[in-house]
Amino acid sequence: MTATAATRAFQPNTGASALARLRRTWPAVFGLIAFFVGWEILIRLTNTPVFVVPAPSAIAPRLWEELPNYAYEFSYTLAAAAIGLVIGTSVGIVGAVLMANWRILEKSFFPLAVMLKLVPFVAIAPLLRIWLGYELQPKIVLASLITFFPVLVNCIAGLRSADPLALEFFRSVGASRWEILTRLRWMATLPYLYAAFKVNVNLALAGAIVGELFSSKNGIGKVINETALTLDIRAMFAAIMFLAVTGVALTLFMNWSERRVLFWHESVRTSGGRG
Amino acid sequence: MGQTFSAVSPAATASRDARGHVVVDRVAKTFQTQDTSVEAIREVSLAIRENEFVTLIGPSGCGKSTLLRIVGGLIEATTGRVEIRGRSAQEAQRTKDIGFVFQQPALLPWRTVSANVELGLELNKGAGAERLCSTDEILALVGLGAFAKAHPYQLSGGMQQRVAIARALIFDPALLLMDEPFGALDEITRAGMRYELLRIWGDTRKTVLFVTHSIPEAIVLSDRVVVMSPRPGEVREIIDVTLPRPRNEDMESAPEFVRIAERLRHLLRA
Repeated sequence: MTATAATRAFQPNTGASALARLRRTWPAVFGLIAFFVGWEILIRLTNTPVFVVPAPSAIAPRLWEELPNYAYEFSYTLAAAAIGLVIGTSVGIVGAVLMANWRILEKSFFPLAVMLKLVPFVAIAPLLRIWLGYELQPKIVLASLITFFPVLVNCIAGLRSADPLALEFFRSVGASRWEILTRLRWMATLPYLYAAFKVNVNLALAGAIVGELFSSKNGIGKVINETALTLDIRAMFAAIMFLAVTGVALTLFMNWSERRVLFWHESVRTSGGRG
Repeated sequence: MGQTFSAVSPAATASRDARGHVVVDRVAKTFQTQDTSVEAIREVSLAIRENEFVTLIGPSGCGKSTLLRIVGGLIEATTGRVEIRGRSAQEAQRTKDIGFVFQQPALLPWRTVSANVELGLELNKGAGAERLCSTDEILALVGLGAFAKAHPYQLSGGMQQRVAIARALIFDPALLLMDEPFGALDEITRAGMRYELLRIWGDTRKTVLFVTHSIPEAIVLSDRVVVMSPRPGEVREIIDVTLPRPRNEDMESAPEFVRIAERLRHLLRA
């Protein structure tokens, strides 16, 4: 028996070699460098004053200087976003399980959820300040409200996506509803949930920051607000740059963990985990 | 691979119900939709003996899959009844006496091959069903001994279907129901799988009800072939396949084989 060939055939894909990875990523890196170099040149050629648009060479030292401060403030933002994400996700999952099981609940409450979603969340930030003040709570509420809906919608779709023949197998051996939910429907939902998570990580951050812009003692949103008030444009750009970098880092982390968790799903296997 | 499985001793099988291991008694099915009703099965009666391999053959849409699902308790008959070891199909589900293999493998993609095979053991534990044999043994039996830790996406369609067969056998059901299990495979793989299935069946000796629309497949596998009429499905004729076992590919040109194939072709055309 060709056991060696057979065992080789199902070695998990440990990813491309470092060289191949470099080949795949260098155009993106090149684009990024080109963008900053172009920016720098444009500012110098046009003699744009630093209080209108600062050049990257002016932003970078400022970012470096402020980094500990920004990291500290960002921890508040991240905490609010993370707690909001957990609450929004939990409520979304529970709602989806209920709605997927009882159509009457879906018919009654799904339109309400849609309405909630259609209210631009920025519009309720001032209200939340009045209700909840200047601490973490209003940001958490905002992040939960934003992240709830994508989870609800995707989770309902996911719970209904289970392979009908696999479902028949479960029923043919007398599996309970609970077993069908936990061992089949829930697992089939994971790719859908992950798609929602990936959107939500950035939405939750956006929600927390908007909350901070309106009312805060701490957080990166507060920093941006202060720099706007003092017209410290360099610090403002530095803060925005900081957010861009953390956003990229979070997205890369989500893509990486998705490849780990959903290695069996065709979206991961065919796209190499992009997007 | 010559081992037999102690779970089915000849002495035990001989003492069981002589009237019929599986009884299908005047089963009819009409599907109701909002404005129309479709008569899928008119009236089918059938008795299957223990350890018998019976095939349902008929043109597309004659209700053979529907009949199989009624026997397996996945669909309720409009009238008539089904008995498996003297109990209803729903009871047979609860006692895990039905092993289903579908047209598609329908494996759980997040589970390894061995975890997929063990699925039926994990579910409905209260039924107290026992293992037919170890997971390694059943994987060896279906020729996937080296693939226990693989995931379904790493296997070919034929290999996935072998996993589905192992999954249906491991909890030692009284009846194996197979709904065109090789229908989605290419012809070469399919022809090989027939003899694979015969070998597996020879070792486990399950009672099998098998749906197909391939004439050679029906003859090679079966003790009896049930020919169904076009919709609404009825039993047109039941043909005994007297070819000796174990069967092999050479028999496909034997006069007996050719005679039965002719007969089936005639019945399916009429």
